[in-house]
Amino acid sequence: MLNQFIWWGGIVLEVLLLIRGIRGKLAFQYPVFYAYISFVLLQSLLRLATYHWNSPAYSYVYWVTEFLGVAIGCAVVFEIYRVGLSAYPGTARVARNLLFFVFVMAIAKTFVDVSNDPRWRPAATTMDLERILRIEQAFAIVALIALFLVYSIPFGRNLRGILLGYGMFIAMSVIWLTFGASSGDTFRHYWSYVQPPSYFMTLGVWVAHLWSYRASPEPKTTVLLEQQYQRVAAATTRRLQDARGYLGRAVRP
Amino acid sequence: MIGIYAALMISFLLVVLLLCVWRGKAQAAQQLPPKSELTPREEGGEPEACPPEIVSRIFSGDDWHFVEGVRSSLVKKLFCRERKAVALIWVQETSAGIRRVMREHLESARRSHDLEIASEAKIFLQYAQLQFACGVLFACIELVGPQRLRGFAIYTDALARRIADAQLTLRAVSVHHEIHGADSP
Repeated sequence: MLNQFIWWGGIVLEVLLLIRGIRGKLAFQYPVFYAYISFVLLQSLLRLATYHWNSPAYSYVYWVTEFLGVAIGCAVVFEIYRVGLSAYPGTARVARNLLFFVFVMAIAKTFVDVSNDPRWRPAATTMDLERILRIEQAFAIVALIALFLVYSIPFGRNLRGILLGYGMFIAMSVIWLTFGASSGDTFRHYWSYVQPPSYFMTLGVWVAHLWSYRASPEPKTTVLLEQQYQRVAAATTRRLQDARGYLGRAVRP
Repeated sequence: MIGIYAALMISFLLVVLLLCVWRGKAQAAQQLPPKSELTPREEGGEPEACPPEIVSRIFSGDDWHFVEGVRSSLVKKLFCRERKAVALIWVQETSAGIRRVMREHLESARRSHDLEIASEAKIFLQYAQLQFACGVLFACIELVGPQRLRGFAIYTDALARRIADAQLTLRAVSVHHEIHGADSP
């Protein structure tokens, strides 16, 4: 009964999110994210319909939609990067290289694993593949958040909501995909109580943060936009060297 | 395949970072001082909270020798406590100064078009080394006190030299053995 309530509640929240997104023009600011939400909504309805009217095809529909969801999820990560760092070209460059590195590593790792495993069968490794992709998304989000925090990049309320909700969803997915396949029924039993409320919570975070459009805070500084990086780096290096000398002078034998 | 521990670790890290975001750490971090205060100063020595001669005095043993001459345990105790507090504050202020330099750098660098990852990594490494040095200095002051720190540094320096000498000797001996070993049938 509770699960039914959470499931239908989730559908209602997704619809609400879409309505608010269109009315508040947020869907134009974050088109990929809203495409993702639309996809999740349609996916839930499609799965339900398949389950009721064509249950033999359910497994096929499930995995196809699951992988489409993962692919659009990767695009959501890139949208967070694009919107969050639009005013910071230098940091965006670092993030771009970092994300590129993470995704290349993911593809290389998958390729190596598949070519090294003689027992490789698509059906048996579908969950593993999704797990690897979700873990790589987790790496990408961790790298992005670390960059945001290190460079003190301010988030707007909307972007923070997307990041929080999607990050939470990815963390839960990684845990489920890691233990779901290898652990016994006990884990699955307990997880069936944890997973629906956690997704409900994710949707709650999105609805709360994306209720209306809030512009991302503009950086307070504008003067240094044209400042050459080499000059900044050289000045910082010199200041750090001075600090080292200053520290050393105090206790030098 | 990516191991269970690696997967758990990345999930845990992600949750911790999300908590940081949720608590508004990033929002707080954006409250940086106005631009005029952030322009990197061309003249060095910015983290110097007090003149070097005073700093040198804090760590020198001269005052301690004077206090020892007074032959009062109360004065000695008071001096040690006060001097240690001053030295610790100095280390903290220096560390804060270094943090400020780094923060100002990040503030400037994040908007630069031609930001270089290698230079950023080098600067970050330098920063980490300095913060580590401050941490070691802090711990040493806590352990041996500022007056004995210079003596401790002299001792460490001598010890390092002795180890280096011993290594050289050992290497020379092993080279000698290798040459003679190669000669023997």
